[in-house]
Order: sequence, then C-alpha cells, then structure tokens
Amino acid sequence: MLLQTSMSLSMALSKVVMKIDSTPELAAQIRSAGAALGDEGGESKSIVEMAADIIQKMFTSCLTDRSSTRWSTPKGKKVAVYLFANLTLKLLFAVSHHITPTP
Amino acid sequence: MSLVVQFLSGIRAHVLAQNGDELSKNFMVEDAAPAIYYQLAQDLKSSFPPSSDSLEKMVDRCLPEEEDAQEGKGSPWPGFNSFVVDFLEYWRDINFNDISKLHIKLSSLLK
Repeated sequence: MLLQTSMSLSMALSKVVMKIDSTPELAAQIRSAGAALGDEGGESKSIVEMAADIIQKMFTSCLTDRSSTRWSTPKGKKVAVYLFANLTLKLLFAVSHHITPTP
Repeated sequence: MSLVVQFLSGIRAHVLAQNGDELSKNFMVEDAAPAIYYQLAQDLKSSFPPSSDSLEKMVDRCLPEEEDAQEGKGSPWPGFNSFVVDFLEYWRDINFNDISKLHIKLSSLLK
C-alpha cells in the first residue's frame, strides 16, 4: 500500500540530493557532519551515495516481488522497479562525475 | 476538528479502502505543497511539541488496528503508524531553507 508513497518520496529525495550535490560547499558540510556522527560502513559516503543506497534497497525489494510472472504486465511492486532503478542510476552517475580516475 | 485529526481521518479512509494511489497524494513533502500542509505544520507545532509523545498517542488513537478487518478492507499496522508519526514530525520540524536538515529528515522518512 505504501509503494506509490515510496516512489514519490524517493523522487523528492533524489531532487533534494541532486540540488545539494550541485553546491559543493554544502555537500562537503553535510558529508563531514555525517562522518562526525559516525556513519555506518566506516568510510564516509557522499550524500548522493547514501541516497542511492536507500533507494537501491527499495529497488531490490521490488525486484524480488513475485506477484507477476516473467512476461506479463508488471504488477504489485514490480511496477516500481524501473523508477527505482532509474533513480539509483541517476544518483550513481552523479557520483561518478566526481570520481577522479587514478593513473 | 483539528487539521491533524482531519488529516489522520483521511489517511484512515484510504488505508481501509486499500487505496495506495490516494494515500500517496496525502504524503507530500516538497516546499511546493499546498498551503494546508503549512497550516498543518502550525497546528502540529502548537499542539504536539517535540518533548512529548502526544503525537504518537494521537496517531494511534486515530489509526487503530482493525480487529476484524473484513475481506477486501485494509487496516493500519504499527509500522505504518510509525511512518505517519515520522511524516507529521517532518512537517512540524522542517525548515525548507535549511537544505541539509531537509535532506536528513527526508532520508529518515524513507529508511
């Protein structure tokens, strides 16, 4: 029942995160605040990566839904698979633009 | 009837009808939300301060678990009520000019 709500909240989070990411000082401030609080995983993640992690969990949950068969029209949670996948990829592409390849 | 109670009554109706589409339209989180959400925020600030658990009690009172849920009818559940409390706290505490806090609050809603 909360699938559509999850979808709209994910889109809203994605918008906010992309807006923050376009302001490097703000992104750095949030990232260091997260590191100070001891974010899980040891190394500090960017806010974009953190948002992608959250949305990816929902994507995985939708992907493992078995309420529709393989070649049929998606129903149940499968409906949201493409949305969550697209949001996750959009966020991860945004992160990859900041990664400088090492020689 | 206060705005909070009105809001929760509307939510309950959609849950009982198992109407996820209509339910999602109530959980708006962006600054472009209709003015009524800002009025709801004022109502929450004045009636449900952060220091007390009155909001949680109100949500549980307005969204009781249906003991004899009929065929085809939904019912609120504890996890859903927690989400509703988080959503109302989001509107009570949010400042759209503080984008870092907005990010934290929105991430918490989704987790």
